[in-house]
Amino acid sequence: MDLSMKILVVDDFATMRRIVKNVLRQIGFTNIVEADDGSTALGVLKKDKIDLIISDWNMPKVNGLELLKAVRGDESTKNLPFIMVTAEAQKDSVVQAVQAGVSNYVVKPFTAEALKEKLEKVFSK
Amino acid sequence: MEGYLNTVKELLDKLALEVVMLEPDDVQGFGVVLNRLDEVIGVSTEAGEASFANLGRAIKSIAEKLVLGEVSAPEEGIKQIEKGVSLFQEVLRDAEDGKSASERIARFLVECGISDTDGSKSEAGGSKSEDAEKAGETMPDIDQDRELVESFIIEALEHLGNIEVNVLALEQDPENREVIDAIFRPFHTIKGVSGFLNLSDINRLAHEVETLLNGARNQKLTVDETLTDTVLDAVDLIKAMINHLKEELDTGVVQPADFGLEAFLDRLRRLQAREVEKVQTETAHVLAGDGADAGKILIEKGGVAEPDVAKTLEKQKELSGPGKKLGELRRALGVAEVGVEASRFVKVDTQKLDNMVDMVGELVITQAMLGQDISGLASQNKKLYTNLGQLRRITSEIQRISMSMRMIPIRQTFQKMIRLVRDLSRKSGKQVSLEMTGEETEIDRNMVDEIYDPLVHMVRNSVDHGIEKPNVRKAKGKPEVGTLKLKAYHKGGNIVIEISDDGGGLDRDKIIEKAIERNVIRSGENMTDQEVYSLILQPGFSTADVVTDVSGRGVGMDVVKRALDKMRGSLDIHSVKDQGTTILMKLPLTLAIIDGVMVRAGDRNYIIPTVSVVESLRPDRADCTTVVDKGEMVKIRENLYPLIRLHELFDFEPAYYNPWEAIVVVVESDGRRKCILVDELVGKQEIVIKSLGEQLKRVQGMAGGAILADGRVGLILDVPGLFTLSEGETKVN
Repeated sequence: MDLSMKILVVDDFATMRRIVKNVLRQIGFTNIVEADDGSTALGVLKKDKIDLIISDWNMPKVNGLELLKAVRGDESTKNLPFIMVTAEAQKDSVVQAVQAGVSNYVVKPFTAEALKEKLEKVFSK
Repeated sequence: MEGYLNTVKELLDKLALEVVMLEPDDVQGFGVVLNRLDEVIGVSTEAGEASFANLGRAIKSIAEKLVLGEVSAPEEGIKQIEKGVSLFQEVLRDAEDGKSASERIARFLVECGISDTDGSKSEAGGSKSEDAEKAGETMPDIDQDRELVESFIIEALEHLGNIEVNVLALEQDPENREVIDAIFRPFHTIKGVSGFLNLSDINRLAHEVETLLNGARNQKLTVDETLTDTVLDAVDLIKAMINHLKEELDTGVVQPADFGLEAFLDRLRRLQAREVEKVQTETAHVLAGDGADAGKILIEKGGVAEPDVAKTLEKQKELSGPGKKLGELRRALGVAEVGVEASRFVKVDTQKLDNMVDMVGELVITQAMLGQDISGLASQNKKLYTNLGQLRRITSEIQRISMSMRMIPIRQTFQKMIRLVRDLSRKSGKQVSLEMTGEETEIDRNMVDEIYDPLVHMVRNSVDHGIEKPNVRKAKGKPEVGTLKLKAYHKGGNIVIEISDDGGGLDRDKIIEKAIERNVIRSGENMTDQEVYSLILQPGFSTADVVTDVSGRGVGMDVVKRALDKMRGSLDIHSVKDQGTTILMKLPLTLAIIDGVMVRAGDRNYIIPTVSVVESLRPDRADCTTVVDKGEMVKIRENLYPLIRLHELFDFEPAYYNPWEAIVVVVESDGRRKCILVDELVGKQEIVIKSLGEQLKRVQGMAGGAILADGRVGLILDVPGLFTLSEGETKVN
C-alpha cells in the first residue's frame, strides 16, 4: 500500500472529517484532501488525481451512494477505490453500496487497525 | 418458457464463473454477484417462475450475510453459494425436461436456514456491539482530543439548531419526508461522531431518537405532537449534555451529571412501541377507507379495544388541528429549504478574524498617516500621487471585506425565537403567530450573542404581557390569534431590529402610577408618551399585574436597555393602547468600529462616539450660569444642561477655562443631556476601538483607545460613565 497516495475524505460534518484524517494519519497517510458533500467531491475529482475515496453515506444534497454511483459511472474514475463509511451495519445501505460497486465499507466508530485492514484488502487485489 | 430458460442459463453461467473467483474479502466481487442475482431474480419474477426467483433470493441472502460479516465461516458461506448456483443450474436442466424442482429448492432453503431472518438479525446485533466495544478500547478520551471535542461541540450545537427549526416545520407538514430526512440526518451524524469521541450518553440518546425518526421515515410511526415534542425534548437534552461537556472542558473538572437519560430513553422506546398502534390504524383504513367506520369494524372483530380507537382518532384530529397555527410561521421562514441546504463555508476561529480586523484597522490608519506624511511630495510627483490613491482604495476595500467576513445573517438568532414563541404561547394559553422579515440582514458575529438576551426578553414580554388571551382579544374585536412580528433591516448605517405585537399596548396611566410609587417621577403631567414609555427602562420597573412563570420577576426592560447601551445601541418604544407595541432596537453595524467626533482639550485628544453627540456650539457668556446644588449649567434654547469639565475630571491644563471661549459638545445618555467642555472640534473619523488592557479596564469614563490618523493615541469617552463620574465628583489620576 502506497502511503503517499492521495485520499479524498468526504463528510458534511467537519469534526468527522478530522477524525477520519486523524485515523488515516495514524496509519501513515499524509496526502489527504477533504470535501464537505458529494457534489463538492465530484468537483475535486474533476480537478485532482485522487487515489482513494473515503466517503460518509449520510450527507445532504449528494449522499455517499449517489457519489459512488457517479464515480462508477464515469469512465475516468470507475475503478477508483471507494470506501463507504456507515453508522452501523445497516443491511440495506451496505448491500446497496456493495451492489453499486463499493470497494469496501467501514462501520463507525472504527479504529486505525480496522480501516487499515480494509484498505489492505482493497489494495491487495 | 424457452426464452426465459435460455436467458437464465446464460446469466447463471456468468454467475457461476463470478462465484468461483469470489473470495471472502472481495467486497467488489460480491457486488458483481449480487447484481447478477438481481438480474436472475428479475427475469424469473417476470416470467412468473416464483420458485426460481425464490432460489435466487435465497442465494442472494447468503451473499448479503457474507458482505455484512454475519457469517462466522465465510469460506463455508461461499461454498454454499456455489452449491446454490449449481443447484440452480441443475433445476433449470430439469425444468427443460419438464420435471418440477420446487421440492429440491425448498430443501435447499431449509438447509440454508434462510427463512429464519430473525436469527440473522440478533447475530448481527451481537457482532456490532462487540465491534463498538473493541473500538472503544482504543478510542481517544476527552483529554487527548480536546480539539476534536471542541469542534464537535460547536458543530453539534449548530446542527441541533437546524433540527429545532425543522421539527417545527414538521409539525406544520407532518408528511414531508424531506423534512424528516433533514432531522434524521444530523441526529445520525451526531450519533456517529459521538461514538468516535466516546461520548456514550449522547451517542445512546442520538441513536434512540434516530430509531424513532426512522419509524416516522418508514411511515410506521405517525408524526404528531407527542413525537415532535419528544424530539424537541431530546434536542434540549442533548444540548444540556453538550453544554455540560463544554463546561467540563473549560474548567477541566469532570463532573458526573444526571440528565435523567435513562427515563428519557424509556420514553423514546415507549413511543417507538406505538408503531403497533399505527399499523392497526392502517389496517382500519384499508378495511373501510374511513377512520371512524374502520374503528367500528376493528372493535366488532375484537381486534382493538374501543378506547384505543378513540385515542387513535383523536390523534388523527390533533394532526390536522394545531398545524394551521404555525402555518404562516413556516412560510415566513422558508424552513424546508433552510434545513436541506448545505452550507459551504470555511470555519475560522473568531479570534483569528478579530485579530485580522484589528490589523486591517491598523493598516487603514498607517495608510492615512503615510498619506499625510508625504502629501507634500505627492503633490509634486504624479506617479506617487496615483499610487497613493490606489493604496487608499485597496486599503479601504480590504477593510470593507474584512469587516464583512465577520458579518453573519441574523437568521439563526431569529429562528431561535420560533421555538421560544411556541413554548411561551403554549404555556400561557395564548395563540401567537410569528412573522419574520429580513432574516438575511447581516450583523457582526460578535453582536449575535449580545442581542440574544435582549431579544428573548422582548419576545417574552410581548407574548406574556402584550398579546392578550384569546377570549380577551375576541371581546376587543381582534382576531383570537395574536401576531408577533420580528423585523430586521439596515437603516442609515445602523441595524434596526423591530419587535412588534398587536397586543394590549402599554398602559400610560399604570406606568405613571408605578413610577410615582417608585419615586422615579413626581407626576405624569406634561410628559409625552415617549417619555412615559421610556420609564419602563428604569431598573426594577415592571408593569405586569401578575408575575408569571415566564417573565416578570422584577427583571424588566432595564436589562434590555443595559445590554443595548453596552453595544452603543438605542431603544425606541411606540405603543397604542389596544393596538399593540413596537420596540425598535437600533444597533451599530459593528462593535469594532465606531463613528467618532474627535475633540481636543489641552494637549489631549478624545473621541466622543457620534451616536451620543446631539450638537456642539459655543455658548454666550450670558447662558453660562451656576445653579446652587447643581453646579455649572449651560442654557441652550431654554433648557439648562450641566457642564462637564474634562480637565477637572482627568487633571490637565486646558487652553480655555471659559465655556464662551471654548466649545461645548451636548451629549445624551439614558435620555439625559449634558455638555462637555472642549477646546476644539478636530473632525469626524471612523475609529477602530482598542481595548485599554487589564490595568486600565476599570478607569471610569473611558470606553477604549484608538490610534488616530496622525499617529497619536486618542481615548474614547464613555458617555454614561462620564455622567456618573461627573455626578460623583471623584477625580481620576
